[in-house]
Amino acid sequence: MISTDQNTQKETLFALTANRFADGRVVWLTAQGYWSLLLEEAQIFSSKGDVETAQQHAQKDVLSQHILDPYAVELNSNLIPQTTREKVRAFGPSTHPEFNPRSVQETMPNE
Amino acid sequence: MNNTLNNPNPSLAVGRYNYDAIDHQFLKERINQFRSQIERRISGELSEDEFKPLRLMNGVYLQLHSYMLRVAIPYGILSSTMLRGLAYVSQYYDRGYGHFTTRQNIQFHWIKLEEVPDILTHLASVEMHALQTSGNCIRNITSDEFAGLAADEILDPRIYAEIMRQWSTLHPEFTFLPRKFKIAISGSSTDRVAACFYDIGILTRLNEEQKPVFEVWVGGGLGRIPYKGKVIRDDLPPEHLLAYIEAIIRVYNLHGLRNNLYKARIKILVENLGIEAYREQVEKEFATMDLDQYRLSDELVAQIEGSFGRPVLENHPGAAEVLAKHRQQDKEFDRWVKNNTHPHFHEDYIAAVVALKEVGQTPGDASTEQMHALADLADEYAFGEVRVTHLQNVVLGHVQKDKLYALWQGLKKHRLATANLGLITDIVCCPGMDYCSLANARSIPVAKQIAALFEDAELQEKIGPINIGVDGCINSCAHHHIMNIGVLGVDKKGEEFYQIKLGGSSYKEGAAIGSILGAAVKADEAVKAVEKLIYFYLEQRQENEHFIDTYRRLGTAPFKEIVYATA
Repeated sequence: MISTDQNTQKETLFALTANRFADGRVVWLTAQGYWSLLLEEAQIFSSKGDVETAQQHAQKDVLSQHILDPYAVELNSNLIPQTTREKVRAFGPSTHPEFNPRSVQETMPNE
Repeated sequence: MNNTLNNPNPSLAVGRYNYDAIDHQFLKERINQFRSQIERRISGELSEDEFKPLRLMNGVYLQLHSYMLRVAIPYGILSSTMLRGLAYVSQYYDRGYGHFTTRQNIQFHWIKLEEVPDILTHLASVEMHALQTSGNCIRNITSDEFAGLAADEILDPRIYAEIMRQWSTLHPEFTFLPRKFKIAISGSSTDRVAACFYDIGILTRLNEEQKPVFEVWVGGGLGRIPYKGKVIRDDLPPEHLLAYIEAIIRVYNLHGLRNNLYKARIKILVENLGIEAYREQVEKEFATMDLDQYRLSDELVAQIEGSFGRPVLENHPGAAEVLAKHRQQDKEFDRWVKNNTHPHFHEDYIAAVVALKEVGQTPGDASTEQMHALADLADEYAFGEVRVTHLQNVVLGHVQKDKLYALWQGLKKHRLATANLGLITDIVCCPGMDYCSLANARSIPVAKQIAALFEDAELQEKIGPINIGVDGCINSCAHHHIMNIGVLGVDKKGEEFYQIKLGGSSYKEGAAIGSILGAAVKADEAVKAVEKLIYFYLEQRQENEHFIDTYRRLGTAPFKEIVYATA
């Protein structure tokens, strides 16, 4: 079942994120089961239950010192994080666009 | 009283304590210990919960994008060698820059965990470390950026800051305080350290016998609940400094709340007990202490002082005239001298303040190249000494007046000659949500946008002295509570909003916590609001008034009206 915001009835999607243990970099769980630096490679979950299940499975990667603190991030229909904090995590510090994980000169996208 | 001219020892780095073999051995052992802890974490022997307090004790945080290493700059003094050491870390272990903080630390925001021991080893080789930059301990002790050169100085606060650093680093009683504990010290009665907003703030004055005594403030602080501290003692002989602050912290350690993070700082305890009751308990504790054991004898102070290098300040007849001639010939230089220098007690010298606040740049950031340039210029013009200020700028303290022009030209080549000290673009700014995991909103873009509005140098001078602090959360690293204009980022359902405060003031004379202007607004509206406030002030001010004077005369209401009337 696709999650919806009770007030707006907008579709809510999810991705699973964490910080990489070795260097703290922001990573996203992919459908293939590895952790990517790129949000665009993230597995998209359409229900909160599915992403919570994935979060539980990710504990094995926590225990193997691969990642830290996995949690679900809400995305909008353009697959952009809902909150500014998660946008900054996904696309790098807005003051250093060259540090965008895609390593291209682009700023944090608007919705 | 200033004794900077005494006993110069050119073999020692100027302005700071030079390590002995014991200091080097201590750091080596500490790094080896932490290296082992990191290895155990990587192997899985230690869990993150077990490891976190250990890494924090060594200055390693996990931020939004990476690990961050916070390195202490005790009492804000760097040698050129130390600065090159920081430049090396920024180049080979980070991304080509470092961020100077309001607590005279530097932060590196892109650190790999397994490289931390090597970084610390490199820092130790230049007599630096990351101890006391995190955790519930006595943090890096800050001091006056004009220590050792200010004409009004009574004693050199760096000597006492160093004594407190050595006393506190391994003090078994103070490793697990209820919360972090911050101390600032100035060697003059003029407050240049925001003494009344520290857990303990120390100023110096002469008593009736013309002997130096400390005026000790306690219970100040910013954060979620800001308080101006209170004077707990105004006549403390320097020889009893350690005993007295130990008594203060013992009372805090005993009674401070440990079950509520937001009420655990000493400011809450002092407020709840009342300063009279707190003083009574401190004096009672002080009376039980073996003061001979704690006494800072002249010999002990001299021993520490002897480990400080001191500049050999020679007379340079005609230096002032040369400087005057350069100022007359070059108006841009003249503007920089007017805004960015501070008098030196020696008439042939002057202190140059290097603003890390070029419009368009992140306040407090210095690139690898700029750090190397500052180190080179410090060697050439300032006895190899560099000072970091609590307002995120840098001072070259002892510059011959006739060489100031050459220094300025050197600074210009590296975009370090912005003539805005104390003006509206000299904005204090925390890393905010671009980096910090505690932040609720970004601060750097807001600071940059405000600065861009007032880039014109003549407009800045027309506006006159003012300070602005932009914080990304209530922890107030950018001191927004005590800035003339404070901007605080808040989160509203995942969106950034900004609250504006007016009327804050950082220093003892006129110290004040700002008042909230009104409802928080979005970022672009906050920037526009600051613009409106400034132009309203320019319309309303009377002769010789600064922004804070006009605000105090008119009160909050008209400023509020001008911001929210058309919102």
